[in-house]
Amino acid sequence: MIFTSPAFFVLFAVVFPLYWAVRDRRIQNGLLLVSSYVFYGWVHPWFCILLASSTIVDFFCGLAMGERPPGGSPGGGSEEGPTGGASQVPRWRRRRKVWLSISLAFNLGVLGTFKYFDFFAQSFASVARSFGLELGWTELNLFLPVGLSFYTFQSLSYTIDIYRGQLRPRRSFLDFAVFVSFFPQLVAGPIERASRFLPQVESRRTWDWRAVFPALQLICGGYLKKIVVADNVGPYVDEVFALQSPTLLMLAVASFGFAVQIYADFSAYTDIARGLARLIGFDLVLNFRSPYLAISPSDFWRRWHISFSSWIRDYLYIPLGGSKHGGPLRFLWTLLASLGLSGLWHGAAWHFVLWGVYHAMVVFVYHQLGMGGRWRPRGMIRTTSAWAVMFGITLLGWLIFRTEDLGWLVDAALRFKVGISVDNRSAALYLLGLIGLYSVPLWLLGAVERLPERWVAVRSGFMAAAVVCMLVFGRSEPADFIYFQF
Amino acid sequence: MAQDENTAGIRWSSVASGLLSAAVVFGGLTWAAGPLAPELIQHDEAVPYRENAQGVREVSFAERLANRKPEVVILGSSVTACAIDPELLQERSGREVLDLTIAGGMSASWYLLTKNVIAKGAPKPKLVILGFRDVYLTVPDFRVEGRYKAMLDRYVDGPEPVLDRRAYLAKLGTAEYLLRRHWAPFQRRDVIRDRAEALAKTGLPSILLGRSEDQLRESVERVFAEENKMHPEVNSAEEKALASDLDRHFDFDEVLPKSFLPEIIKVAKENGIQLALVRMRPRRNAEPLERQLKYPSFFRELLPEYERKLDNYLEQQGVMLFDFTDDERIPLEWYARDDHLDFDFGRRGFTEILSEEMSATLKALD
Repeated sequence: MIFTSPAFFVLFAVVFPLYWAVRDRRIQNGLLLVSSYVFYGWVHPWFCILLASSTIVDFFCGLAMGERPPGGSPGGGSEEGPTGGASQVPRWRRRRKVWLSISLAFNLGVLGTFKYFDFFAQSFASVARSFGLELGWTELNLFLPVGLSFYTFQSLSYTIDIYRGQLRPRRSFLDFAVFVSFFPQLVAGPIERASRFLPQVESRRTWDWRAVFPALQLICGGYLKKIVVADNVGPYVDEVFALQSPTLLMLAVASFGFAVQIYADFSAYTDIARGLARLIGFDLVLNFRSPYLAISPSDFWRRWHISFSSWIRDYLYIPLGGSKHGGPLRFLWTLLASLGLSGLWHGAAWHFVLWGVYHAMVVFVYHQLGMGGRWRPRGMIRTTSAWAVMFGITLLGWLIFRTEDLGWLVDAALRFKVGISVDNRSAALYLLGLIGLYSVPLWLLGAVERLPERWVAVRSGFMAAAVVCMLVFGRSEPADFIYFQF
Repeated sequence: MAQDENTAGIRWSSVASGLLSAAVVFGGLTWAAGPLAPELIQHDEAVPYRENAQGVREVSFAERLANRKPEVVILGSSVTACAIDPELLQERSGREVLDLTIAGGMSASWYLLTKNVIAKGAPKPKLVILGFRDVYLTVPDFRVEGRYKAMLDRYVDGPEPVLDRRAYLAKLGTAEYLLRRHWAPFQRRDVIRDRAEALAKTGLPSILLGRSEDQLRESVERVFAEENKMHPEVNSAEEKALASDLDRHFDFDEVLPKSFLPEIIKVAKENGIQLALVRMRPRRNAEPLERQLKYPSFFRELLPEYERKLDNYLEQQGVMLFDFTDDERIPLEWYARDDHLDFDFGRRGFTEILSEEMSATLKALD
């Protein structure tokens, strides 16, 4: 089920009043769990088996890791630390490691099987073929369940945090299952941390009229971005990527279009998810903070898909050493591993890996030039120049991300020539005009969001205009959210 | 719904001003869209007959028909245009043949052309050869939106209830139907969108490049021409959507009454025009077996039953069918891209085969 499908509106229209009609938190959670599974299994009910398996495995791994250490304090959280039975502590630690390994192996095994097996099998067979070996690989041809990458990471954060002693294991299966399957953010994030979200699941929610208007604004803005901006810009971007041999100018325009499309599409999902969550008393993490205003690659990753980039930072980049340990080569390796895997997370294809590696290289170069971390240039001209360079770097990255054939991109680059035909100039401006037209709501929305909260009349008027725009400019068959495929 | 002390924090004046503002904006935009039209589908977007770069004006099909007075007319899409050479067929049959195929044309255009152009010819052609493939003869809402609608509107003649119902209204959901019926901005959404896009598409390039709208359009058409695309058959959103749910079109009994096929047959019969359907060989059937298995399974599992039912229906209706689906005389080498035959040798080869197969029919036209 997707947010733009009629079935979703019916589901939410049923769940929403029921949810607030009951005051008991456990019944509310039960209702959330059922509706989340209906939402997730609507088209392919077997998806729910994977979701439930992941939930069960991580719940019990969490409980097992939280068992009291020999002579330890009750409550099971390792944050309290073992306090006795010193001779048995190493065994206890080993056992925790085993449970964490089970959780990691199961989650990453499922992800690897469904998402990456065929990709690596094909890549391996292709390498073998180049050495004259014909391998009789059997591809699994499995259908990738939507949201698998998202809830796997979310669920893993729970077991890893328990292992690290940063989180207390939960004893309520229902609460934990709601955390893993919470339908507003289940299939495309934001990726919530257990430490932030579980306390919300465990606390009593009360209806608050004051939360309704901001929630409706988020939902309305999200639909506006998706229906009017992303779904209208997308087909024009596709036109360029369907050309056999586009010029660099056309690629530059298409890349700009894709930048608009992917931001509008993905942030739309986040906004709708956050708005829906607010309507039922939850606060989801902010996922985007004007990413195209970034002035450096580190700044970009603090603004783009924040819940994912912070996950990679906390569970991969820092454990691998971050920027503080070792020399430049160690730092480069850490970046390549973290961002290369980030790229692979987006999809089982080499261009995604290359996109991650490209960003790793860019972060490394900036860092070596003394422009890493929280670097900020002084003065308007330097800041603007830094922004322009970073925006160009981002656009080139999107080109790698969007292309399905790296050879096609390389061919286009090799065909570069100085003169541009009038046909290509006209077509590029034609596309730019259309992208500009459908980007207008994005800029207006940004402006309205910056208005004072008390300007309710202006905000309401904008929402009404947004609804009219969606009905007039919306396509009959809305496209899937881009991040569903990840 | 549970309500608690939090309502105390609500400023009702803000709520009222918000609702009033939303109502004013919504009402204003509705008013700006103009009055509600009684017809749900407007057919006022026809592509004009333009002059090309050499100053030669496009000639309408009605004019061509009136000038040539053909005995045989060919209908179909670019697949048919790449398969049947009208001059060669004319030479082989000794009949005057006119090609009325349209690139991108599908069943809605074949219906309109039969009803509004061919049936109104004076004299009427004796035979209409209609080329098609797979299930496209019975998919009424395929290629009817956007630029295809502008192309279809060329052949609309007065109110077109059958076209509107089968190509446009049948696929509307209840909400879409109600909005179109009762809310002007939704009814005029295509026009509003076209105007906004036209302004954006041509405004900036005109200012920066100093080129006219027609020059810009021609440039864009050249850059995005079908032959410049990697996979021309699956580029547009509409075609992707069709490809993604093609399997629902294989239930012949279900799709037939909703399609234009019965109407095309009816119009041909009423006007004494013989109809000959030519089922083209799709490229996949010419490919080696292991390649054929790469295509979606419904072509192997559902299409044969659909074709059997279509054949029976045509036989009952007394409509001739020339079936080349599995004709081994059309080899893979004849194909240029996708289901299109090579415009030179592929077309010549197929036309020779067709002339031979249809020779009795063509001779009997007298």
